[in-house]
Amino acid sequence: MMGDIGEEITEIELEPLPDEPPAEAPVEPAAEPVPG
Amino acid sequence: MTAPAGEGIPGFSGRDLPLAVGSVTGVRLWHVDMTSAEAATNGAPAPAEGLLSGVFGGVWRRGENVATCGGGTQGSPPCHRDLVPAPECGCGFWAYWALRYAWRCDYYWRGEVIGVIQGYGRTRIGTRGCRCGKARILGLHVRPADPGCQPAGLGHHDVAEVLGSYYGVPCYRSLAELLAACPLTADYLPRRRRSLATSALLGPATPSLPALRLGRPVRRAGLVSAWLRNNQARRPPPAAGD
Repeated sequence: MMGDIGEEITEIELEPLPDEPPAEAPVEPAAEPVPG
Repeated sequence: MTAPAGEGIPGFSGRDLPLAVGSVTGVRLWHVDMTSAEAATNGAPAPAEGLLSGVFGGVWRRGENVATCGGGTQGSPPCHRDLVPAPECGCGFWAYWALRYAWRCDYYWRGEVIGVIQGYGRTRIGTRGCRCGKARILGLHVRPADPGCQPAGLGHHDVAEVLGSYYGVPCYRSLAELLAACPLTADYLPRRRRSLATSALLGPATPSLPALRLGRPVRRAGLVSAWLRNNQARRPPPAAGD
């Protein structure tokens, strides 16, 4: 016996949202080189 | 023969469907490859293909799974990979909007593991569930064995640990926890059945007495006696000697 998804409503192509990037500690900006 | 204009170009082929951003979540059942699961707990490498298989034998991997067609039950040739899940075939990953629907379809098959998947790619959407071209497992629950038929070998806690580790997903202690952590898509259920998406019951609730209407003692007595009359009428006659 097959499964039963009920009355078919639609057929569609779903594109998942990309995973959210993991929360990371803010990175201190690197100090700019001081011109000599 | 000339290919139709646009064939083979993404977005312009006759096989392309309307595109939407997002995915669906559905619940389904699997069998566990107990031999490999036991071997994995003893330190042996788990098989690369996977530890969970579907009702028609497809083995589920960690991360993204891509459905292929093995051919129809009537011996028809496999569907083209771009058309899975095809309308006249059973190919694709099946999942349901409610635990009750998954159980109703697969109860005879007695899958030991229930889980929620994220489905996407080419997707056929129905009022009870869906068939998807791509899927990944989001969470699992291993059903405790019946007390009368405990399998020798791994207990269900051990199986849960192995599966959680292998698939890299949480293995929840109860169905209620699974559904709370991985909510099912309810948008396609008929409005009056939307609450089924959050129900951890495998079957319909046990029939109960009709709700009493307080403040109407005469009506209340009538409802209860009618319920008793109907239910007693359905009982088989007592056996001789009772």
